[in-house]
Amino acid sequence: MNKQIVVAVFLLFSSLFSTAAYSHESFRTIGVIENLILKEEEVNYIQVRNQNDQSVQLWISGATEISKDDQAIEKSELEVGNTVVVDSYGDGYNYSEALTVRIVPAIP
Amino acid sequence: MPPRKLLKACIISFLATVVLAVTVVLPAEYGIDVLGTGRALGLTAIDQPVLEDVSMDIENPGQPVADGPITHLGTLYRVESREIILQPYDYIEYKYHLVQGASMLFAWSAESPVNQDFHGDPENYPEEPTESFNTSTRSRDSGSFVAPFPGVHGWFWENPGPTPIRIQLYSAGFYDFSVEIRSNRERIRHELAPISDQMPAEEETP
Repeated sequence: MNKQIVVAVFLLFSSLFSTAAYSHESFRTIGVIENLILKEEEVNYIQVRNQNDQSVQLWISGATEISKDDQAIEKSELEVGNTVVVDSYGDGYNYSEALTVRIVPAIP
Repeated sequence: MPPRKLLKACIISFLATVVLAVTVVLPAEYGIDVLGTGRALGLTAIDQPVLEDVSMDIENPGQPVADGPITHLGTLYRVESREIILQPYDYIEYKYHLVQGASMLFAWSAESPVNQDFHGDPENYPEEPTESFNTSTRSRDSGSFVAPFPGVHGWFWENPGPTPIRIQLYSAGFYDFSVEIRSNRERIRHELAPISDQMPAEEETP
């Protein structure tokens, strides 16, 4: 009986995870950093106000590449007020993983 | 030559001409075969030549059939002129649906250089990956393209700067629709009318 439950739970989780993986998409967010959310004194999320005046939180993971003027920089150099172009990957805009963050000149 | 002999020669010549006309010339030239001699001599075939049928794929109209330097398609081509505004740092993809071997002509120009990637997504994308044909930073391009596989083929254009850029695209080809993919994941499909539907109706002359 226990074995059947374990198999059923495994199948349920497998189907859920496979559906989630399949629905992942890439997104571009263009906007201004309005907040830095820290975890253990490191930037964990950036909150960006995009051009549609929506606030989006993007995860800055260990794999996120951050650059300015085509030069790689540390996540500690991200500041509130920076104009950024973020390409991220996830289920939706919010909380998706930032693959690249480019600090760019402000949009007039 | 005595006149009597001359008259006789003329009559014989006339009769010979009439016989040849009825038995040979009329069946061959005009398909008039009163005596059946044309059919017997195989001359009526000259009047009704059997034209070699170009092997169009009737089952799959739109499938290209190569015929030397010519490629036949069972469909009409389409033309399009479209203006696209690239917002600061934004990108857009604009692609045409083409079957394998179908061709198109294109020309586009941008107000300032953009990052572009001319690529194709196969029909069963994303199971099969996108193929990139040309990646560069430029402000214009024109040329022709023959689809190496069925799918949507066209451009990824990215604005590298903080000011909007206007792109003007012209194309003509054996595509049936285009698709516009924006960075917010919005997909807009544009149905494009064949060239005959876009031509004005012929006016009757009095």
